[in-house]
Order: sequence, then C-alpha cells, then structure tokens
Amino acid sequence: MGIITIEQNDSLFWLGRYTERVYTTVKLYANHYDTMIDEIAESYQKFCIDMNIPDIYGSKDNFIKSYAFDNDNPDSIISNMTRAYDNAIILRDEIGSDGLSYIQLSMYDIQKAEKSHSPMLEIQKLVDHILAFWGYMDDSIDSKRTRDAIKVGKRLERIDLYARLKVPRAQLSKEISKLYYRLPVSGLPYDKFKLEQTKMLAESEKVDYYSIVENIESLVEI
Amino acid sequence: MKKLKFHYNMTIEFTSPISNHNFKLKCLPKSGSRQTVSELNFEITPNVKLSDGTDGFGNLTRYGNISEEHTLFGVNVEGVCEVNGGFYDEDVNPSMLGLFKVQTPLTKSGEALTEFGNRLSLPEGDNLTKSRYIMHEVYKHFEYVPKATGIATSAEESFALGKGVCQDYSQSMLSICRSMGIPCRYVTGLLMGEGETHAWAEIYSNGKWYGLDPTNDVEVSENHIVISTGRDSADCSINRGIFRGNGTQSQKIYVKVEEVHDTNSNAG
Amino acid sequence: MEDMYKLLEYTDSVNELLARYGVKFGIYKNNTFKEQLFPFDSIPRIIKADEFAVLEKGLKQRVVALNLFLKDIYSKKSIVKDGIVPEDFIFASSGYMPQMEGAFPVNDIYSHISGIDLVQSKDGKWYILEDNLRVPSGASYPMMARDLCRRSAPDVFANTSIEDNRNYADLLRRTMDNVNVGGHTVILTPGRYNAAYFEHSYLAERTGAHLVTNNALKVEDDKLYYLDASGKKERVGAVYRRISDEYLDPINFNSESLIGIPHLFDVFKKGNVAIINAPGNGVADDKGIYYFVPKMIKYYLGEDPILNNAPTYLPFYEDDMKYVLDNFDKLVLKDVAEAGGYGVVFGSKLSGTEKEDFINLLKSEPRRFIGQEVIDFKDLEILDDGNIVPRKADLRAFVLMADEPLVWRSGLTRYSRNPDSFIVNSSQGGGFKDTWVLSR
Repeated sequence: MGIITIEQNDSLFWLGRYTERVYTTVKLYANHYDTMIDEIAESYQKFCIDMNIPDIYGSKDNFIKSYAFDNDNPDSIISNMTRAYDNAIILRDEIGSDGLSYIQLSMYDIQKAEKSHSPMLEIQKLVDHILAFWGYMDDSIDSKRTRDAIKVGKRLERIDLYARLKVPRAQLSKEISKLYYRLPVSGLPYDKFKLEQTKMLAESEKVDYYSIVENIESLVEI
Repeated sequence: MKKLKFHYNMTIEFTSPISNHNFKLKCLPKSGSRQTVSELNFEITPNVKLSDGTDGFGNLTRYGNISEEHTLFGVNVEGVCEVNGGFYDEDVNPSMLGLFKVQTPLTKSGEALTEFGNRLSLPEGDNLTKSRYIMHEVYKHFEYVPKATGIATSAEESFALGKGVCQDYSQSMLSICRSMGIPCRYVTGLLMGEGETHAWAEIYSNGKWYGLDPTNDVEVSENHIVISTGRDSADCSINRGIFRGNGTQSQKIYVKVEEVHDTNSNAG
Repeated sequence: MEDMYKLLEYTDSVNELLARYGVKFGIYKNNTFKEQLFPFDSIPRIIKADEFAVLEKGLKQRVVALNLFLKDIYSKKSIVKDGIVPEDFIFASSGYMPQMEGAFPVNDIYSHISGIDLVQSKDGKWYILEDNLRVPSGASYPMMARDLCRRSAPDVFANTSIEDNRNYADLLRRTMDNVNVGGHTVILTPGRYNAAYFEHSYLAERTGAHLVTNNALKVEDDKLYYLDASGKKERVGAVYRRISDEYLDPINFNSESLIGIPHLFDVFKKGNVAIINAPGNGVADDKGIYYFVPKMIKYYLGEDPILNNAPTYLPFYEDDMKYVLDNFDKLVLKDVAEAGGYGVVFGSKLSGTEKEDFINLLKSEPRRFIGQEVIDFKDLEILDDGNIVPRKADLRAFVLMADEPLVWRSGLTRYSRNPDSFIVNSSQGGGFKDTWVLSR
C-alpha cells in the first residue's frame, strides 16, 4: 500500500467535496422546505441568488421537486449525490466495502425520498448516512493520505458554500484555518500563495466573499 | 551470392507537436539461411533509449517511447546484406506453417477474387509451379497506380479496383494462393535500386520458401533483401505508433540498395 | 440439509444487504449504462463432500491439460503434428494469437484462473459445458453472498458443515504471488462502466492488490511501473487484467484501444511482468476446441478424463456432419465464436425455412458450429413470487493454478428465471445462488 494514483487522489478529494455539498445543501433545503410550507411568497428565489445558481424553477412546488430530485438539474441534491457516488464507486479498495456502503445507502435514501409523501423523513436518513460515512472514515480508514484527501475536499467545499452564503466572518475564518493546517500535510497539489491569500481575505475587516470563492475554487490543483 | 549495401530512411513530420509517442519499428533485416546482415548502423530522431525484441514471426523489432514534444520522427538504417538467393530453408518455427494457409481480414477473398480464382486453370505440379502461374495472372490483372489504394486497403478491394501498388499485388496473390491451399506469406523488404520499400510474397513448396514478386512478375533473387514476414501487410508494418496530439503528418521514405564489389575479391 | 430452507425467511434481509454493498453488474440498455442488482436466490445448491471430491479431481486434471495444451500450441505444436487436433482448429481460431509464439509465461502457466461451466443431468451425472480461460468472472458474488447469509442467519450455519468459500481471495492472492516477478500486484480494469466492475473492485479490496486503470501504469525500459500521485514510480510484478486480449496493448494489439498500456506485451515477453491470464488463451476455450479436451487429457497426461463433456459432434468431420443432419431436431447447435448464451440454436425450435437456412450455413461453414445432445438438466428449486419452483441452473467452478492446482470449494450457481429457458447468463436476466460444498 502507501501508493495513491492521481486518479484516486482526484476521486477522494471530490468525494469529500460532494458529500459536503449534499450535506450542507440538504440542511439549507430542509430549512426552506419548512418555511415554504405556510408561505405564499417565493422565498426560494433568494436561495438561488445566495447559492449563485440559476433560477430555473418558476414556482415553489417546482423548486421543492426539482432542486432535490431532478437528475437533469445539475444543481440538484440528487445530482450532487450521484457525483459523490460516482467518485466513491471507484474507491472500493481505498475506502473499503463498508465505507462505500454508506454512500450507496445515501444514494438509495435520496431515491426513496423522491417517491415518498414525506420526503424529509428519508432525507433525514440521507443525512444520517453521510454522517456515518464521515464517522467511518475517521474511525476505520487507516491511511492518513486517504483520509486527508477526503477531508481537504470536505473543508474546501464547506468554505466555498459558506462564502457564497456570506456567513459571518468568525464562522468562515474558523473553517479556513482548519483547511490552512490540513492542506499542506495532505500531499495534494495546491497553490501556496492562494492559501495564504485566502487566509488573509478572511481576516480582513470587510470580508471579500467573492474573492474567497474564486480563490478556493482554484486552490487545489487537481 | 550478392553483397548489397542498403540504406533506409524514414522521416515523419507533424504539423503540430506530438508527445507521449510510443512506437514499434520492424525495419531491421535479420540474418538467417537466406541472408546475412553486417555493418548495421541505426539512428533515431529524437534520440531516445530503445529496446530490442522479436515478434511472433521471428522478425526483429526495436521500440520505445518519446515523452517530450516533437514535430519530427526519423529513422535511418544502413548496412550490408549478403544475399544467398531466392529460396531458402525455414528460419521460423516450422510448426506455424498452418497459419499461412489461413486468410486474414486483409487477404480474405470477396466476389472479385473468388470469381477470378474460379476461372484460373492451374497447371499441374508443385506449389511453386502453381504459384508462378498465379503470380503472372495477378501481374496481368493489375495496373500499377500509386495512391489508388492505401495501407488499410484489402486484397479484395484493390483487386476489384484493378489498381494498386506492391502491397495490393502481393496480398491479392496471397489470397488466391491460400484459397488453393498453398501456404504463403507476406514479405516487406528492399529491392535493388532507389525508391521506396517493397513487398512480395513467399510461398512454401517442397520444404522451402520461394519468393515471388508479382509487381514485377519475377522470382525473387539476390536483388531482394527481406526485412519481415507475416500473414499480411499488417504483420509487417515498418512503423507502428500511437501518440498524443493532433495535426497532420507527412511521411517520406527513401531507400537505396546497391551492389558492392569487394576490391580484394578474387571472384570473376 | 433441511436447514437450507430456513434461509428462505432471510431472503429479504440478505437481498437488502446485497443492495447495501452494491453487489451489482452493469448492463448496457439502449446505449446507456445501468447498474443492476444481481438477483440472489437464498436456497443454496448443495454438493456432497464425496461428490465434490470427484469434481475437484476432474477439474484439476482438465485445467492442467488445458495449460499443457496452450504451452504446446504456442511452441512445438506436438498435438497437431501427432494428428490429435487438426490444424484448422488452431490457426483458424480467432483466439489464436501469433504474438504468443516465442513468449513464455512465468512457470508455464497460461490459464491462472479458469472458470469451468458444468451442468448436472437428471440422473445426477455432471457434464462440462464450457471452459472459460480468458477472463472468467463471477467468483465475487458467492463470496459476498456467503458473508451476508451468515450475518443474516447465523443459526443455519451453526448446524451444518459447509466449506467456507470466503477463502477465494486467499487462493487468488496465492495464484498471483506465485507468478509475480517482483513488485506490486495490480488488478487492471477497463473502468467502472464495465459489466463486472463490482467484481474488479471487490477482488482488489479483498486481495490487497491495487485496482488500476491504464492511466496509473507506464512502461519504461522494458519494465512496468505504477505511478503515484506524488511522482514516484514503483515496479509492478503481476497484472491481473480484466480487459480482453485485443485491448491490452495498443502497440502490439488493437491500436484503437484506449484502455490498454503501450508495450505491456513487450514487458511480458521479456519476462518482466506476469499477465494473468496470459494472452492468447482463446485458442483453448472456443467451442470447437472443447471437443478435443478429453483427447488432450489422454495425450498430455496419459489418463482417462474424470469428467465428461456433453456429447458433442463436429460437423467438420463427415461422420459427425451426417449425424447432426440426421438428428438435427434433437440437438443444440452452437456458434463457436459466440459466448454468453448467444449463438445457441435448438434444432427443434426452428421453423421450416429457418432450418433450411441454418443447414445451408452449416454446410458452407462446418468449422463454425458444434452440435450437442440436449442434456436433461436437473432443475434446482428457486423462490419465485412466494412459490418454490424448479429452474434450470449451471455451475461455474473456479480452478486456480498457483504453486499447485487449486479448486475453489464453492462456485457460481446461476439459474434461469424464465421457466422455459436453458440460458442462465446474467446478461440475459438470470440470478445466482450460493453453492455449498459439504465438508463431511
């Protein structure tokens, strides 16, 4: 062991990113879902603006369906879950059949949620399984290189999403400092200058969220 | 016996740079009971480390990889070849003889070749007698027209067209011989004079291989140098390569074979 | 063995676990790739210890002879010279690769992993149906299924003496290590859009071999290297390749291949890497050469075959052609070039004109077909929609050539889901069962 190919590094990193993207967007979706139950105004429009995704939905009902379950919508939760699965499926020998099974179960959960009358119950299972995967990774994946590649992806995605959502500086800064320490020891190729710059951007008085997103997207050279 | 000095040069120019270029060359004549090669000088551009091997037919191969970008690929081979004559004992595993009775995708006959074969009235006699006759008929059928066909053209396609070059003459002849049950094989080689590489057929008769050159309607003599033998032209490709990059390539080949007379020879 | 029925109540939980672990095979429908669960039937096939002991002996004998045949064909060809196998069946076979002439696989092993398909007739006799010496697949499914059955129904296994089949990974590792010339062992996959990708990845996990695509491998100075993301490279000593011969190496085989490794075959020929299984094995497992396997056993080993072929006729021989034509309606005709249940025709099922067309084709290309007596299969019970019903089934046994021949004490039992079908192939909708070999 002890050898990781460029392809594997790439998949581990993106597995981290997509599981995080699903996890965080599901939580946001759940909040909006609850608000929209008794709401007439189209609050999903603000969600699209915040997330910087095109508003292709037209109505709240369509948003609820398409943003979660439309395979043809590249921004949907199911599309991101599928990408996580596509990366995990080629990593069986790195993350183990047990690790992979949590991603497989998450995939089934979102598919079941689509068919359910109470999708939020199934979506809760999806969240449980993603958390189980992360727990499994921490507990049972022996190779530090493997763990680090997933974790860097996960941290980086979280910063990206938080910056898009313009969370308070302190919250963003905390996430950035975790990445700042992990990335250099992960073995992943990255741009040192951009990492320093990202840290500085988060520390300045007025946070330039846009530049942080831009930096983060091109930080890891995979 | 003749002593021939040979020179083979191939250059391929690419309009835009290529990289990760893997190649395999079959351009070295080998020594055996038919011919003896000496004073071999081999150069490749760009200059990279090469490996030597043999293929399943016993032909010599030289291969390698050029990872850096380049726009020119060149091979230059010079040497001396003493040729004993036209026919010779087998150098290659004789148990493979049955392989040379089987058609390949390039020699498989279609309507044109089948019909032509059916109309032939072969003379009585051994495989050599029959093959000489087939050679002559193939020679008469074809008109020598360069560029009417390509390297991937099958015997049937060229034969139906009635036009082609040495590869087409040879593969058509192989196709007919095989359909008559005569073991035969394709040869890539060099011919006395200046020009390109040449191809002909070898047929198996009475325990020996005989070279027959249908393009010139002659039996192969001491003027021919064998480079490689195989089932068809695909087995004898001089250069096989794959690379990254696009753009078009243009290939130039130069061949020169001349007889050398030893100054201190006392032969008349 | 009434315990086997106890598993029925665990059918759902076992299938749920199979889904959890992604025990799937891929299939192309209308040009799109889909993953399907491989249906599992919980009633196992049971083979008694003494019965399997005979199978084991016979399978070893057969695979040893097939390996000797391959070595002979790619060197002296004594069996052809001695008139046992006509040369037409060698050189006209699409599986014969002239590139293998003058290549010498490590320890003379050509078929490291052989999948031998058998059927049992109603009278309990076993027949060999087909040898698969190229890249036989299927071992991973019963390996995984056994694990999950034991997890679901521990009580069933507490009371029986069944050979543990989860040692397949160890047998495979031993087989790969036996020919490794020094360096890593890798499993080369064409990628996740391959029908057997689950198996490739699962075997990698279980044997500790690296699962790779061609991008991770490179040939330099007649050696094969595995490339690390950090730029270092390490020698590879054995490649268990799960891609077919033609795509293995675009320099030496099909130049269109995008999944192969340029010069891999050259490295192999220099003896600097083992390729598992060796290229060119197709010459020994086509349906035409199948006819000659009992003769091979006699020729190379001087022994009588322990296991029988299904009675087979070669229209290539005049007498056999006559028999096939006279008995056309009771025979099954097989195209030697096809696999996976395709190219199989039952004489009795053809209409008048279809039959006429087929006979004309048979007469013009006699080398292309074999005729076989239809074996009266012993049906196995399966659970279908809550009812226990009989279905056709076969058994793929796995024989591994390590430092000695090894037979995996289990196998892949595939069954047909359609009651009228004899075809058990997974690509045609079949399912699988666990195969219990009793240990006493």
